[in-house]
Amino acid sequence: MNPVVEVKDLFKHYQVRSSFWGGKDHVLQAVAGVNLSIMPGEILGLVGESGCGKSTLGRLILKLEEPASGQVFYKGRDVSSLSHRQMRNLRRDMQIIFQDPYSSLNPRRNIFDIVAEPFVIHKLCRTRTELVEKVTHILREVGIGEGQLYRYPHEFSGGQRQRIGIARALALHPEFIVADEPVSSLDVSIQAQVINLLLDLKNKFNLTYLFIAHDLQVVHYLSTRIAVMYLGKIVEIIDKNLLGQVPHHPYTEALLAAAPYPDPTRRQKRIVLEGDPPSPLNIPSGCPFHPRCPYRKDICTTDKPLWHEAGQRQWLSCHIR
Amino acid sequence: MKRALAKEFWRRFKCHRLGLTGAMVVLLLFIVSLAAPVLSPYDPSYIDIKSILEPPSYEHPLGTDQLGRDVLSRIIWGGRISLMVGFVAVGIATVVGVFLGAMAGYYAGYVDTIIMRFVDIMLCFPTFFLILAVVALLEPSIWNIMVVIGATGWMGMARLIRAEILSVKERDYVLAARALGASHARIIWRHIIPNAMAPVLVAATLGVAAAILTESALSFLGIGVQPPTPSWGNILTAGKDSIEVAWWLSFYPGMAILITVLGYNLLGEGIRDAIDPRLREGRG
Repeated sequence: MNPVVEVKDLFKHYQVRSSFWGGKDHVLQAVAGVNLSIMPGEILGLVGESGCGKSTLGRLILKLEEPASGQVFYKGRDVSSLSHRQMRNLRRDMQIIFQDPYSSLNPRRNIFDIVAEPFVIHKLCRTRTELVEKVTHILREVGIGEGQLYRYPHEFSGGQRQRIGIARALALHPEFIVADEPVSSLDVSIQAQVINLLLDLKNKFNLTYLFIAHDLQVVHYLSTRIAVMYLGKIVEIIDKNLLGQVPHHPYTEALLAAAPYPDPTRRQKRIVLEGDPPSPLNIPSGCPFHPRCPYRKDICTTDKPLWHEAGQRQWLSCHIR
Repeated sequence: MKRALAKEFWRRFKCHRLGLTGAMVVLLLFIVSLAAPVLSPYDPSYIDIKSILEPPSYEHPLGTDQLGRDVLSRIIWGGRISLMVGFVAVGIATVVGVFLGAMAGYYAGYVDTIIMRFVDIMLCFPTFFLILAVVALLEPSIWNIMVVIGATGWMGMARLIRAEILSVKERDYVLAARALGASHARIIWRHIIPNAMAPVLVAATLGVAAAILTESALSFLGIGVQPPTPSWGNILTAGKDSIEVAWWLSFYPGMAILITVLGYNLLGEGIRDAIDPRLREGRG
């Protein structure tokens, strides 16, 4: 099977001006050499702490930002080589769902306008009736009733807004969706609803997701594979069923140990990482994780670990595993 | 503005007493100016040699000037001029300012640098003297005045909208529109500008007041609206020569200017507070 999305050696950095009067500009390495492929029908969960480049990676894949170097292939086609028109057509196949349901909907437009926009942009409806029909249909899929069509975003709750955002993303029947922390700003009870909705829609429309989150449990619940990101690099990709069963990258291990488990009798080993995540302005030499790694060896401080296959369905980059 | 948002706006605005006062003053000025032909008791340029410099009386509520013309009528007709100058000048300033500011904010980079440095250069000129010089070169007609006031008043507007756009364009709904393949024009017009207009509306309201003041000042100096067309500024000029014997000739047009400018300023503040409580300065 060919991957839907393939990412090769992707880099992205931002220039950070130090001061108005010049001086040395800093380089913030947001994505530092990512290789990834996403298979059709799978949900690839992407976890990592805040600021590790998860969202940037998602946006690079959708070409909402330009990479510094590296390539993104969509079904074998290099996205950066596409013309303006081809890119526009490709946008019908790949969509994004945002984290913050408050800033992802334009407050000056009603729900109909917001969800109709994809059809209008791609000129898919000839008449107004057809447009209304399509919009109500897709809104019904996400559980928003017809009576609310002409209301404004501020009249909806966070969960409903998130559904509207999902409806907009699904309007054109895309194949691939980047879900950028779609539930992290919702209440836990609403989170479950939205997650189940995403799963239902995946089965119904045969979608492939890149599901970005910082909550390992959410990702474990719905992903087929899990990628762990640290300081702009993927440090481990593992089959969901192997999570917690095999030796992991030390960072994954720490994440697993930190995830709360709803059973007070269960005791597990705590791994408390030393220090803060290093600044992406100044990435450590060797393995970027070495200053915080409890198993650190000499080689970790000097040599970059190679990306290698550790088990049947596990890849990681670490000197000691 | 759309219905639900307008309702929200009105709910906040009607609690703002000063803003409401301003709105009423402005509304009144509008009605009076539009109904000038009906409301004014005399033809504003009708010269009556028999009643020169008459103090306020029943026949002439605000007195008469050196040519026996009715001051009330002249002020009412002068209000038309002020209103027109205010709106057209601010209209020009807004169109130019929004267009250039939007370009600078949206495209950033070189476009931004070029436009904003041009704004800086324009801001270096002392505006009033620039207007004086331009009007002195061209003939002083009301159209020239409106264009000149507009052409020297757009820089603040451009800066405002640029700053607003810099923040709006990073919001997720703009990114969503890009992800859907929307064109630049669509993103700017449908998503960015409507969400960046609030401070512009406020600045425009305050700008009307400033433009009316500028016009009055120019007319006062004799290079604005030319007599016999009445304007508050040129009635004042005429009044200053006989201020010792006919105070009403300077007092009433002065009051007209004061009330109008105050009305617009209060209205502008009311709109600002109602549109976005976050913009409120120094109040809880």
